Amino acid sequence: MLKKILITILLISKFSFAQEMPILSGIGGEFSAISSMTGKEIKFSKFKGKVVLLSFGYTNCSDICPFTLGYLQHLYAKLTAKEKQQIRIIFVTVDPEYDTPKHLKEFMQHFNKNFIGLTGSKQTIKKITDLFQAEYSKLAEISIPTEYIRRVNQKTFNNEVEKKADKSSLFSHTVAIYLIDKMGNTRSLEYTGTATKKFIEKIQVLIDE
Amino acid sequence: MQRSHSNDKAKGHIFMHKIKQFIWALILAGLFSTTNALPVGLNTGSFSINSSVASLMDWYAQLLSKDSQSKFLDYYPKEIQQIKIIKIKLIDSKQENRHKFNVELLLTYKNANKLISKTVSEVLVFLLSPLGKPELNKIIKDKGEFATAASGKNFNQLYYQKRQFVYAWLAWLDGDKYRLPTIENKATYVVNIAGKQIQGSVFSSLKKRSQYLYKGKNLLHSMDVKALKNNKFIFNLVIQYKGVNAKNQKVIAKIKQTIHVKLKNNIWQIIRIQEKHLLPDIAPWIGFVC
Repeated sequence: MLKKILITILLISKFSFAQEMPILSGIGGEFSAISSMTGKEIKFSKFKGKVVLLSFGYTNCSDICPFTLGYLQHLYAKLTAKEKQQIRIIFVTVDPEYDTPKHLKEFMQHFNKNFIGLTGSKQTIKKITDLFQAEYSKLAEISIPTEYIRRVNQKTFNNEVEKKADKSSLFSHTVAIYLIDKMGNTRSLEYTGTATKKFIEKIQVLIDE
Repeated sequence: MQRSHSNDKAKGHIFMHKIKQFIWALILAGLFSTTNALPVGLNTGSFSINSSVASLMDWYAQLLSKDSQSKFLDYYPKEIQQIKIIKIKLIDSKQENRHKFNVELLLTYKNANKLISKTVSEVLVFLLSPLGKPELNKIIKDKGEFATAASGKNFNQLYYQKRQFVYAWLAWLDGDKYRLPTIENKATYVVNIAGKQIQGSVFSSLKKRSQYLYKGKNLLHSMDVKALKNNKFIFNLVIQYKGVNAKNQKVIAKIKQTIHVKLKNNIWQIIRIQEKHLLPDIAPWIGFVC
Protein backbone atom coordinates (compact mmCIF):
# COMPACT_ATOMS: atom_id res chain seq x y z
CA MET A 1 0.00 0.00 0.00
CA LEU A 2 2.71 2.41 1.14
CA LYS A 3 4.75 1.58 -1.97
CA LYS A 4 1.79 2.34 -4.22
CA ILE A 5 1.23 5.67 -2.48
CA LEU A 6 4.88 6.62 -2.82
CA ILE A 7 4.82 5.76 -6.54
CA THR A 8 1.68 7.92 -6.91
CA ILE A 9 3.44 10.82 -5.19
CA LEU A 10 6.43 10.39 -7.47
CA LEU A 11 4.23 10.37 -10.56
CA ILE A 12 2.32 13.44 -9.39
CA SER A 13 5.53 15.35 -8.70
CA LYS A 14 6.85 14.41 -12.17
CA PHE A 15 3.54 15.45 -13.71
CA SER A 16 3.72 18.81 -11.93
CA PHE A 17 7.22 19.29 -13.29
CA ALA A 18 6.02 18.49 -16.81
CA GLN A 19 3.35 21.13 -16.34
CA GLU A 20 6.19 23.63 -16.17
CA MET A 21 7.41 22.66 -19.65
CA PRO A 22 4.70 23.79 -22.01
CA ILE A 23 5.06 23.49 -25.78
CA LEU A 24 6.68 26.65 -27.12
CA SER A 25 4.44 27.51 -30.04
CA GLY A 26 6.13 28.46 -33.28
CA ILE A 27 9.53 27.01 -32.42
CA GLY A 28 10.80 24.12 -34.54
CA GLY A 29 9.34 21.87 -37.17
CA GLU A 30 10.24 19.52 -39.99
CA PHE A 31 13.38 20.00 -42.09
CA SER A 32 16.04 18.00 -43.91
CA ALA A 33 19.81 18.39 -43.58
CA ILE A 34 23.01 16.44 -44.17
CA SER A 35 24.04 14.35 -41.19
CA SER A 36 27.70 14.23 -40.19
CA MET A 37 27.18 10.59 -39.20
CA THR A 38 26.33 9.33 -42.68
CA GLY A 39 27.05 12.22 -45.00
CA LYS A 40 23.51 11.72 -46.26
CA GLU A 41 20.33 13.74 -46.03
CA ILE A 42 18.21 13.10 -42.97
CA LYS A 43 14.75 14.34 -42.02
CA PHE A 44 14.34 15.77 -38.55
CA SER A 45 11.22 13.61 -38.10
CA LYS A 46 13.60 10.60 -38.09
CA PHE A 47 14.39 11.61 -34.49
CA LYS A 48 10.75 11.20 -33.44
CA GLY A 49 10.57 9.05 -30.35
CA LYS A 50 13.85 10.51 -29.03
CA VAL A 51 14.40 13.56 -26.84
CA VAL A 52 16.57 15.99 -28.79
CA LEU A 53 18.96 18.65 -27.53
CA LEU A 54 19.63 20.95 -30.46
CA SER A 55 22.10 23.81 -30.63
CA PHE A 56 23.56 26.09 -33.29
CA GLY A 57 27.16 27.11 -33.93
CA TYR A 58 30.16 26.50 -36.18
CA THR A 59 33.40 24.65 -35.86
CA ASN A 60 35.60 27.74 -36.20
CA CYS A 61 33.84 29.43 -33.29
CA SER A 62 36.41 30.31 -30.68
CA ASP A 63 33.80 31.44 -28.21
CA ILE A 64 30.62 29.69 -27.03
CA CYS A 65 30.45 26.64 -29.38
CA PRO A 66 33.27 24.56 -27.85
CA PHE A 67 31.97 25.63 -24.45
CA THR A 68 28.39 24.53 -25.29
CA LEU A 69 29.56 21.20 -26.68
CA GLY A 70 31.82 20.71 -23.66
CA TYR A 71 28.82 21.42 -21.43
CA LEU A 72 26.71 18.91 -23.39
CA GLN A 73 29.55 16.37 -23.19
CA HIS A 74 29.61 16.80 -19.42
CA LEU A 75 25.81 16.54 -19.20
CA TYR A 76 25.72 13.46 -21.47
CA ALA A 77 28.30 11.71 -19.32
CA LYS A 78 25.99 12.04 -16.32
CA LEU A 79 23.12 10.20 -18.02
CA THR A 80 22.53 6.48 -17.60
CA ALA A 81 23.13 4.15 -20.56
CA LYS A 82 19.35 3.78 -20.95
CA GLU A 83 18.84 7.55 -20.94
CA LYS A 84 21.62 7.98 -23.49
CA GLN A 85 19.72 5.68 -25.83
CA GLN A 86 16.66 7.89 -25.49
CA ILE A 87 18.30 11.18 -26.42
CA ARG A 88 20.08 12.70 -29.40
CA ILE A 89 22.44 15.65 -29.24
CA ILE A 90 22.41 17.68 -32.45
CA PHE A 91 24.62 20.57 -33.48
CA VAL A 92 23.52 22.57 -36.52
CA THR A 93 26.28 24.53 -38.21
CA VAL A 94 25.65 28.11 -39.29
CA ASP A 95 28.75 27.92 -41.52
CA PRO A 96 27.85 25.17 -44.02
CA GLU A 97 30.52 26.34 -46.47
CA TYR A 98 33.36 25.45 -44.12
CA ASP A 99 31.64 22.77 -42.06
CA THR A 100 31.44 19.87 -44.49
CA PRO A 101 29.86 16.63 -43.18
CA LYS A 102 33.30 15.04 -42.92
CA HIS A 103 34.84 17.94 -41.01
CA LEU A 104 31.77 18.26 -38.80
CA LYS A 105 31.98 14.55 -37.98
CA GLU A 106 35.61 14.87 -36.86
CA PHE A 107 34.72 17.92 -34.79
CA MET A 108 31.67 16.34 -33.13
CA GLN A 109 33.50 13.11 -32.37
CA HIS A 110 36.08 15.03 -30.41
CA PHE A 111 33.27 15.71 -27.91
CA ASN A 112 31.34 12.47 -28.26
CA LYS A 113 31.02 9.89 -31.00
CA ASN A 114 27.25 9.93 -30.60
CA PHE A 115 26.87 13.67 -31.14
CA ILE A 116 25.33 14.51 -34.50
CA GLY A 117 26.32 17.45 -36.67
CA LEU A 118 23.94 18.77 -39.28
CA THR A 119 24.94 20.80 -42.32
CA GLY A 120 23.60 21.49 -45.79
CA SER A 121 23.18 24.31 -48.24
CA LYS A 122 22.91 27.92 -47.09
CA GLN A 123 19.16 27.71 -47.83
CA THR A 124 18.85 24.62 -45.62
CA ILE A 125 20.56 26.40 -42.73
CA LYS A 126 18.39 29.47 -43.27
CA LYS A 127 15.28 27.26 -43.14
CA ILE A 128 16.36 25.56 -39.91
CA THR A 129 17.31 28.80 -38.17
CA ASP A 130 14.00 30.33 -39.29
CA LEU A 131 12.06 27.37 -37.92
CA PHE A 132 13.78 27.63 -34.55
CA GLN A 133 13.86 31.45 -34.66
CA ALA A 134 17.57 31.12 -34.00
CA GLU A 135 19.36 34.37 -34.57
CA TYR A 136 22.62 34.24 -36.54
CA SER A 137 24.55 36.51 -38.84
CA LYS A 138 27.87 36.63 -40.66
CA LEU A 139 30.05 39.21 -38.97
CA ALA A 140 32.00 40.15 -42.10
CA GLU A 141 31.90 39.26 -45.76
CA ILE A 142 35.62 38.63 -45.95
CA SER A 143 37.13 35.33 -44.85
CA ILE A 144 40.12 35.29 -42.58
CA PRO A 145 42.79 32.63 -42.06
CA THR A 146 41.64 30.25 -39.36
CA GLU A 147 45.01 30.47 -37.63
CA TYR A 148 44.05 34.03 -36.59
CA ILE A 149 40.66 32.96 -35.22
CA ARG A 150 41.89 30.67 -32.49
CA ARG A 151 45.03 30.33 -30.51
CA VAL A 152 44.65 26.57 -30.40
CA ASN A 153 44.72 24.88 -33.76
CA GLN A 154 41.29 23.28 -33.87
CA LYS A 155 42.17 20.61 -36.38
CA THR A 156 44.98 19.31 -34.18
CA PHE A 157 42.54 17.33 -32.08
CA ASN A 158 41.17 15.75 -35.24
CA ASN A 159 43.03 13.70 -37.77
CA GLU A 160 42.57 16.48 -40.25
CA VAL A 161 45.46 18.58 -41.42
CA GLU A 162 45.02 22.31 -41.20
CA LYS A 163 46.36 24.03 -44.27
CA LYS A 164 48.03 27.39 -44.08
CA ALA A 165 45.49 28.73 -46.55
CA ASP A 166 42.53 27.59 -44.46
CA LYS A 167 40.06 30.45 -44.27
CA SER A 168 36.74 30.95 -42.58
CA SER A 169 34.14 33.55 -41.72
CA LEU A 170 33.04 34.69 -38.30
CA PHE A 171 29.43 34.43 -37.17
CA SER A 172 27.31 35.54 -34.27
CA HIS A 173 24.61 33.09 -33.28
CA THR A 174 22.16 32.14 -30.57
CA VAL A 175 23.47 30.48 -27.41
CA ALA A 176 20.23 28.55 -26.79
CA ILE A 177 20.01 24.77 -26.45
CA TYR A 178 16.56 23.65 -27.62
CA LEU A 179 15.03 20.83 -25.60
CA ILE A 180 12.68 18.94 -27.91
CA ASP A 181 10.27 16.21 -26.86
CA LYS A 182 9.67 12.85 -28.52
CA MET A 183 6.94 14.32 -30.70
CA GLY A 184 9.19 17.09 -32.05
CA ASN A 185 7.75 19.89 -29.90
CA THR A 186 10.19 22.40 -28.42
CA ARG A 187 9.53 22.30 -24.69
CA SER A 188 12.28 24.40 -23.20
CA LEU A 189 15.23 26.60 -24.05
CA GLU A 190 18.35 26.21 -21.98
CA TYR A 191 21.96 27.38 -22.17
CA THR A 192 25.30 26.61 -20.60
CA GLY A 193 24.21 28.57 -17.52
CA THR A 194 21.55 25.97 -16.72
CA ALA A 195 22.63 23.73 -13.85
CA THR A 196 23.24 20.27 -15.38
CA LYS A 197 21.18 18.66 -12.59
CA LYS A 198 18.17 20.79 -13.51
CA PHE A 199 18.68 20.14 -17.22
CA ILE A 200 18.94 16.37 -16.66
CA GLU A 201 15.72 16.42 -14.61
CA LYS A 202 13.95 18.08 -17.53
CA ILE A 203 15.36 15.53 -19.98
CA GLN A 204 14.20 12.70 -17.71
CA VAL A 205 10.67 14.13 -17.58
CA LEU A 206 10.54 14.17 -21.38
CA ILE A 207 11.99 10.65 -21.62
CA ASP A 208 9.28 9.40 -19.25
CA GLU A 209 6.41 11.04 -21.14
CA MET B 1 5.40 -8.31 28.60
CA GLN B 2 2.44 -9.24 26.44
CA ARG B 3 0.79 -5.93 27.32
CA SER B 4 3.86 -3.97 26.34
CA HIS B 5 3.97 -5.93 23.07
CA SER B 6 0.33 -5.05 22.28
CA ASN B 7 1.07 -1.41 23.26
CA ASP B 8 3.96 -1.36 20.81
CA LYS B 9 1.70 -2.88 18.16
CA ALA B 10 -0.97 -0.20 18.80
CA LYS B 11 1.68 2.54 18.68
CA GLY B 12 2.91 1.04 15.42
CA HIS B 13 -0.60 1.16 13.98
CA ILE B 14 -1.06 4.77 15.06
CA PHE B 15 2.31 5.65 13.55
CA MET B 16 1.45 3.94 10.26
CA HIS B 17 -1.94 5.64 10.26
CA LYS B 18 -0.27 9.02 10.77
CA ILE B 19 2.17 8.31 7.93
CA LYS B 20 -0.75 7.37 5.65
CA GLN B 21 -2.61 10.54 6.64
CA PHE B 22 0.50 12.58 5.93
CA ILE B 23 1.00 10.90 2.55
CA TRP B 24 -2.63 11.44 1.59
CA ALA B 25 -2.29 15.08 2.59
CA LEU B 26 0.76 15.30 0.34
CA ILE B 27 -1.15 13.67 -2.53
CA LEU B 28 -4.05 16.06 -2.12
CA ALA B 29 -1.67 19.00 -1.88
CA GLY B 30 0.07 17.78 -5.04
CA LEU B 31 -3.22 17.43 -6.88
CA PHE B 32 -4.33 20.82 -5.67
CA SER B 33 -1.12 22.51 -6.78
CA THR B 34 -1.40 20.79 -10.19
CA THR B 35 -4.94 22.11 -10.52
CA ASN B 36 -3.72 25.57 -9.62
CA ALA B 37 -1.02 25.29 -12.26
CA LEU B 38 -3.67 25.05 -14.99
CA PRO B 39 -4.00 28.24 -17.01
CA VAL B 40 -6.46 30.74 -15.64
CA GLY B 41 -9.20 32.18 -17.81
CA LEU B 42 -9.67 29.28 -20.23
CA ASN B 43 -12.74 29.73 -22.37
CA THR B 44 -14.86 27.57 -20.18
CA GLY B 45 -17.52 30.24 -20.01
CA SER B 46 -15.59 32.11 -17.33
CA PHE B 47 -15.52 35.88 -17.37
CA SER B 48 -12.48 37.18 -19.31
CA ILE B 49 -10.67 40.11 -17.73
CA ASN B 50 -9.99 41.37 -21.26
CA SER B 51 -13.74 41.76 -21.68
CA SER B 52 -14.03 43.92 -18.56
CA VAL B 53 -11.03 46.01 -19.61
CA ALA B 54 -12.71 46.50 -23.01
CA SER B 55 -15.80 47.77 -21.16
CA LEU B 56 -13.57 50.01 -19.04
CA MET B 57 -11.94 51.51 -22.16
CA ASP B 58 -15.39 51.90 -23.69
CA TRP B 59 -16.52 53.79 -20.59
CA TYR B 60 -13.69 56.35 -20.90
CA ALA B 61 -14.35 56.64 -24.65
CA GLN B 62 -17.98 57.43 -23.76
CA LEU B 63 -16.93 60.07 -21.24
CA LEU B 64 -15.01 61.79 -24.04
CA SER B 65 -17.90 61.52 -26.49
CA LYS B 66 -20.35 64.40 -26.81
CA ASP B 67 -23.43 62.24 -27.15
CA SER B 68 -23.03 59.59 -24.46
CA GLN B 69 -25.79 58.72 -22.03
CA SER B 70 -25.21 57.09 -18.69
CA LYS B 71 -26.47 57.45 -15.15
CA PHE B 72 -22.85 57.72 -14.06
CA LEU B 73 -22.11 60.86 -16.11
CA ASP B 74 -23.10 63.03 -13.14
CA TYR B 75 -20.09 61.69 -11.29
CA TYR B 76 -17.81 63.57 -13.68
CA PRO B 77 -17.33 67.20 -14.71
CA LYS B 78 -18.88 68.26 -17.99
CA GLU B 79 -16.84 69.00 -21.12
CA ILE B 80 -14.04 66.55 -20.43
CA GLN B 81 -11.23 67.21 -22.91
CA GLN B 82 -8.72 64.50 -21.99
CA ILE B 83 -8.47 61.46 -19.76
CA LYS B 84 -5.09 60.02 -19.00
CA ILE B 85 -5.03 56.73 -17.14
CA ILE B 86 -2.12 56.79 -14.73
CA LYS B 87 -2.63 53.40 -13.13
CA ILE B 88 -5.11 50.50 -13.27
CA LYS B 89 -5.25 47.74 -10.70
CA LEU B 90 -7.57 44.75 -10.62
CA ILE B 91 -8.87 44.42 -7.09
CA ASP B 92 -10.99 41.82 -5.36
CA SER B 93 -11.31 39.40 -8.29
CA LYS B 94 -12.64 36.52 -6.18
CA GLN B 95 -16.24 36.83 -7.33
CA GLU B 96 -16.71 35.06 -10.67
CA ASN B 97 -19.21 37.43 -12.25
CA ARG B 98 -17.61 40.66 -11.02
CA HIS B 99 -14.44 42.57 -11.83
CA LYS B 100 -13.40 45.56 -9.79
CA PHE B 101 -10.70 48.01 -10.96
CA ASN B 102 -8.99 50.79 -9.07
CA VAL B 103 -8.12 53.47 -11.64
CA GLU B 104 -6.04 56.58 -11.16
CA LEU B 105 -6.81 59.24 -13.75
CA LEU B 106 -5.72 62.66 -14.81
CA LEU B 107 -8.88 64.43 -15.97
CA THR B 108 -8.73 67.63 -17.99
CA TYR B 109 -12.00 69.47 -18.46
CA LYS B 110 -13.40 72.89 -19.28
CA ASN B 111 -15.01 75.02 -16.63
CA ALA B 112 -16.06 78.60 -17.47
CA ASN B 113 -13.77 78.48 -20.51
CA LYS B 114 -10.86 77.55 -18.34
CA LEU B 115 -8.97 74.25 -18.61
CA ILE B 116 -8.75 72.47 -15.29
CA SER B 117 -6.85 69.26 -14.55
CA LYS B 118 -7.40 66.94 -11.63
CA THR B 119 -6.00 63.62 -10.54
CA VAL B 120 -8.83 61.31 -9.55
CA SER B 121 -8.86 57.88 -7.99
CA GLU B 122 -11.93 55.77 -8.67
CA VAL B 123 -13.16 52.23 -8.36
CA LEU B 124 -15.17 50.83 -11.27
CA VAL B 125 -17.21 47.69 -10.69
CA PHE B 126 -18.29 45.59 -13.68
CA LEU B 127 -20.90 42.89 -13.35
CA LEU B 128 -21.49 40.20 -15.93
CA SER B 129 -25.02 40.56 -17.31
CA PRO B 130 -27.14 37.43 -17.99
CA LEU B 131 -26.28 37.93 -21.69
CA GLY B 132 -22.56 37.72 -20.88
CA LYS B 133 -21.82 41.41 -21.24
CA PRO B 134 -19.74 43.13 -18.54
CA GLU B 135 -21.73 46.19 -17.45
CA LEU B 136 -20.59 49.11 -15.36
CA ASN B 137 -22.46 48.65 -12.12
CA LYS B 138 -20.90 51.02 -9.64
CA ILE B 139 -18.38 53.86 -9.42
CA ILE B 140 -16.73 54.90 -6.19
CA LYS B 141 -14.60 57.98 -6.55
CA ASP B 142 -12.85 60.67 -4.55
CA LYS B 143 -13.14 64.42 -5.14
CA GLY B 144 -9.78 64.58 -6.84
CA GLU B 145 -6.87 66.93 -6.53
CA PHE B 146 -5.89 69.73 -8.88
CA ALA B 147 -2.93 68.89 -11.08
CA THR B 148 -1.00 69.90 -14.18
CA ALA B 149 -2.66 68.96 -17.45
CA ALA B 150 -1.40 65.95 -19.40
CA SER B 151 0.95 66.91 -22.15
CA GLY B 152 2.04 65.24 -25.36
CA LYS B 153 -0.30 62.47 -26.46
CA ASN B 154 -3.92 63.18 -27.08
CA PHE B 155 -5.93 61.06 -24.69
CA ASN B 156 -9.17 61.54 -26.58
CA GLN B 157 -12.16 59.38 -27.50
CA LEU B 158 -10.31 57.63 -30.34
CA TYR B 159 -7.46 56.73 -27.97
CA TYR B 160 -9.92 54.76 -25.81
CA GLN B 161 -11.85 53.38 -28.77
CA LYS B 162 -8.63 51.80 -30.08
CA ARG B 163 -8.00 50.17 -26.74
CA GLN B 164 -11.61 49.08 -26.46
CA PHE B 165 -11.20 47.31 -29.82
CA VAL B 166 -7.97 45.59 -28.78
CA TYR B 167 -9.27 44.28 -25.44
CA ALA B 168 -12.57 43.20 -26.99
CA TRP B 169 -10.57 41.30 -29.64
CA LEU B 170 -8.49 39.61 -26.94
CA ALA B 171 -11.63 38.77 -24.99
CA TRP B 172 -13.02 37.14 -28.13
CA LEU B 173 -9.81 35.13 -28.54
CA ASP B 174 -10.20 34.16 -24.86
CA GLY B 175 -13.51 32.61 -25.88
CA ASP B 176 -15.94 35.37 -24.92
CA LYS B 177 -18.70 34.93 -27.52
CA TYR B 178 -20.25 38.27 -26.60
CA ARG B 179 -17.19 40.04 -28.05
CA LEU B 180 -17.70 38.80 -31.62
CA PRO B 181 -15.95 41.41 -33.80
CA THR B 182 -17.30 42.89 -37.01
CA ILE B 183 -15.44 41.25 -39.87
CA GLU B 184 -15.57 42.28 -43.50
CA ASN B 185 -16.82 39.54 -45.83
CA LYS B 186 -13.55 39.20 -47.70
CA ALA B 187 -11.34 39.52 -44.62
CA THR B 188 -8.40 37.09 -44.55
CA TYR B 189 -6.40 35.70 -41.66
CA VAL B 190 -2.89 34.34 -42.26
CA VAL B 191 -1.23 32.48 -39.38
CA ASN B 192 2.45 31.51 -39.42
CA ILE B 193 3.47 29.01 -36.75
CA ALA B 194 7.10 28.09 -37.51
CA GLY B 195 6.97 26.13 -40.79
CA LYS B 196 3.19 25.87 -40.81
CA GLN B 197 0.96 28.40 -42.54
CA ILE B 198 -2.78 28.69 -42.18
CA GLN B 199 -4.64 30.90 -44.61
CA GLY B 200 -8.31 31.63 -45.17
CA SER B 201 -11.24 33.56 -43.80
CA VAL B 202 -11.03 34.73 -40.17
CA PHE B 203 -13.31 31.95 -38.96
CA SER B 204 -11.73 29.13 -40.98
CA SER B 205 -8.19 30.16 -39.97
CA LEU B 206 -9.20 30.42 -36.32
CA LYS B 207 -10.70 26.95 -36.49
CA LYS B 208 -7.50 25.47 -37.97
CA ARG B 209 -5.38 27.49 -35.55
CA SER B 210 -7.30 26.03 -32.62
CA GLN B 211 -5.46 22.72 -32.97
CA TYR B 212 -2.34 24.59 -31.74
CA LEU B 213 -3.98 27.18 -29.49
CA TYR B 214 -7.24 25.72 -28.31
CA LYS B 215 -8.23 27.31 -25.03
CA GLY B 216 -6.25 29.95 -23.25
CA LYS B 217 -5.69 33.37 -21.89
CA ASN B 218 -4.41 36.17 -24.12
CA LEU B 219 -2.46 38.90 -22.41
CA LEU B 220 -1.64 42.12 -24.24
CA HIS B 221 2.13 42.63 -24.21
CA SER B 222 2.27 45.72 -26.44
CA MET B 223 0.26 47.64 -29.00
CA ASP B 224 1.12 50.14 -31.67
CA VAL B 225 -1.45 51.77 -33.93
CA LYS B 226 -0.73 53.36 -37.28
CA ALA B 227 -3.43 55.60 -38.75
CA LEU B 228 -3.94 55.41 -42.51
CA LYS B 229 -6.26 57.38 -44.77
CA ASN B 230 -10.07 57.02 -44.76
CA ASN B 231 -10.41 55.96 -41.13
CA LYS B 232 -8.27 52.89 -41.68
CA PHE B 233 -5.77 51.72 -39.09
CA ILE B 234 -3.09 49.08 -38.65
CA PHE B 235 -2.90 47.57 -35.19
CA ASN B 236 0.40 45.88 -34.34
CA LEU B 237 -0.15 43.74 -31.29
CA VAL B 238 2.13 41.46 -29.33
CA ILE B 239 0.17 38.99 -27.23
CA GLN B 240 1.31 36.43 -24.67
CA TYR B 241 -0.78 33.26 -24.92
CA LYS B 242 -0.98 30.73 -22.12
CA GLY B 243 -3.29 27.78 -22.53
CA VAL B 244 -3.65 24.37 -24.10
CA ASN B 245 -3.74 22.87 -27.59
CA ALA B 246 -6.45 20.57 -28.95
CA LYS B 247 -4.67 17.61 -27.30
CA ASN B 248 -4.95 19.42 -23.97
CA GLN B 249 -1.15 19.90 -23.76
CA LYS B 250 0.07 23.12 -22.17
CA VAL B 251 1.21 25.71 -24.70
CA ILE B 252 2.73 29.16 -24.47
CA ALA B 253 3.12 31.54 -27.39
CA LYS B 254 4.31 35.04 -28.08
CA ILE B 255 2.06 36.16 -30.89
CA LYS B 256 2.59 39.11 -33.20
CA GLN B 257 -0.63 40.18 -34.90
CA THR B 258 -1.00 42.85 -37.55
CA ILE B 259 -4.67 43.73 -37.87
CA HIS B 260 -5.94 46.03 -40.62
CA VAL B 261 -9.21 47.66 -39.56
CA LYS B 262 -11.61 50.37 -40.59
CA LEU B 263 -13.60 52.53 -38.20
CA LYS B 264 -17.06 53.02 -39.65
CA ASN B 265 -19.89 54.61 -37.63
CA ASN B 266 -17.90 53.96 -34.45
CA ILE B 267 -17.66 50.26 -35.27
CA TRP B 268 -14.32 48.57 -35.96
CA GLN B 269 -14.36 46.36 -39.04
CA ILE B 270 -11.59 43.83 -39.49
CA ILE B 271 -10.16 43.81 -43.02
CA ARG B 272 -7.09 41.58 -42.72
CA ILE B 273 -5.06 39.79 -40.03
CA GLN B 274 -1.51 38.47 -40.17
CA GLU B 275 -0.09 36.48 -37.31
CA LYS B 276 3.37 35.16 -36.53
CA HIS B 277 4.48 33.24 -33.46
CA LEU B 278 7.70 34.65 -32.04
CA LEU B 279 10.28 33.24 -29.66
CA PRO B 280 8.57 33.33 -26.23
CA ASP B 281 10.25 35.42 -23.52
CA ILE B 282 10.96 32.53 -21.21
CA ALA B 283 14.36 33.65 -19.94
CA PRO B 284 16.28 36.93 -19.77
CA TRP B 285 19.16 35.50 -21.84
CA ILE B 286 16.90 34.32 -24.67
CA GLY B 287 18.10 36.91 -27.17
CA PHE B 288 21.79 36.44 -26.39
CA VAL B 289 24.12 35.81 -29.30
CA CYS B 290 27.85 35.36 -29.31
